[in-house]
Amino acid sequence: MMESIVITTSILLYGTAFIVGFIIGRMTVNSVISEYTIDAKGSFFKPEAKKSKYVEIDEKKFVTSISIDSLEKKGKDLGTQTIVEDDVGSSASKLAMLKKNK
Amino acid sequence: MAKGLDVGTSFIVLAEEGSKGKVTYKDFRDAFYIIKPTTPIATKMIEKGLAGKTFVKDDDGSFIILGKDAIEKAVERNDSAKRPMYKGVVSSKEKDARRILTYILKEVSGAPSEPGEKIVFCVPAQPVDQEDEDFDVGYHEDVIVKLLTEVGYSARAINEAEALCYSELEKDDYTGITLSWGAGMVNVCVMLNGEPVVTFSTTKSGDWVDRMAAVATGEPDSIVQAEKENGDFTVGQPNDNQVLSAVASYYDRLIDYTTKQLAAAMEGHKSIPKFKDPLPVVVAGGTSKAKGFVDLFAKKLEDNGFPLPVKEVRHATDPLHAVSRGCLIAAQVM
Repeated sequence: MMESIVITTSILLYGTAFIVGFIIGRMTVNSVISEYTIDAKGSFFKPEAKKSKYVEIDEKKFVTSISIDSLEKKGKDLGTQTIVEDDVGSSASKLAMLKKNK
Repeated sequence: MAKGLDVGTSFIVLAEEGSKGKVTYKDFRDAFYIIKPTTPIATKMIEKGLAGKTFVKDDDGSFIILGKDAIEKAVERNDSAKRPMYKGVVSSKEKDARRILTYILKEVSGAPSEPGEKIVFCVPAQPVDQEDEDFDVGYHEDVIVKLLTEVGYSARAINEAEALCYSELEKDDYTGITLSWGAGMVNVCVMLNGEPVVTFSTTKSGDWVDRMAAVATGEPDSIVQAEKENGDFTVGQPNDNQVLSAVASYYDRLIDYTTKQLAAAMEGHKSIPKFKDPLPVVVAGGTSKAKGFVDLFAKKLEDNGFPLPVKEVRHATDPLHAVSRGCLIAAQVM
């Protein structure tokens, strides 16, 4: 009788510990991946500064030069033009004001 | 002076301010199709046949047709045109594609009006639904900065959906959500008072619809694309034309998938602020121009449990030019 109580209690204890550990692990992993993936890295006007305590080598792929001299233009010009009424300057002023006041 | 440049998988759009109160847009279809003649007579015949089209001749004798003419020529030959970019970025492995993109961008952006003229171009955010070592936004950005600098511009990159916010959220005090539905990707930005809080992308958009509909109907992608752009269909509704019926069905699935991704990304995310008012959601991009798109998107957003309060879902004022307009505004402010 005593033995079966001990075994049942052990199973319950280990089972609960496993489930709690599993849930905490999943929650932590999910938040780390999700924040790494979608958090905005600053903005165009205020790019996020690199953390100074990490020293990293710049492994960005080197951009080799590409020559387009061999391409001889033969046909008509590229692109279709449209002109629209739009006071884009006032939109830029409003945004500039917002950025200045921050 | 300053310029804005939307470097998209399907369209390249340049925006510049003309005379007071006017903006000039220059659009170019981001596509090419190569024809390699086998004999001198064929060379002459092909060149004659290309009169009035946009094309260049390469030093190996081949003709590279560019833009919508490339798509038309590909359709004529029951083939598919190629793209210099794939899913929002240029690949370092595709040398031909890089060369053609360089040519197109230099031609579309033209010479700067003064040395060091500011130009802002858009780049996609890191996708949440794909890990692909060939998807390298940093490399893509460097390629474009290098070529625009060679032409004489002072170039800087901006996140595509952030640019869309600057174009479309002015009357909302730059607070809301924007989605740019391009050909290769959907780019998302959540903005609060002019500061991006969350930016991400998904890798299924208009091209995915074309591809899936092409597989289902046995037609080349270019033909599906042409039918999609010229045909009359409503997103999610059956159609007598089998290609359009497939397109409408895959559009439905695409919107469902994207709204689910959006809900999953926002749900319980720590960076999302407590917005005091419901948010406007603005959609733009060529893929969003299909009939019934905005209504179905709004419905799916609700059905799929989008966790933030939504004031309205609206189309950008000019869905094809909105991103380049945002780039232009950023260039004028920087």
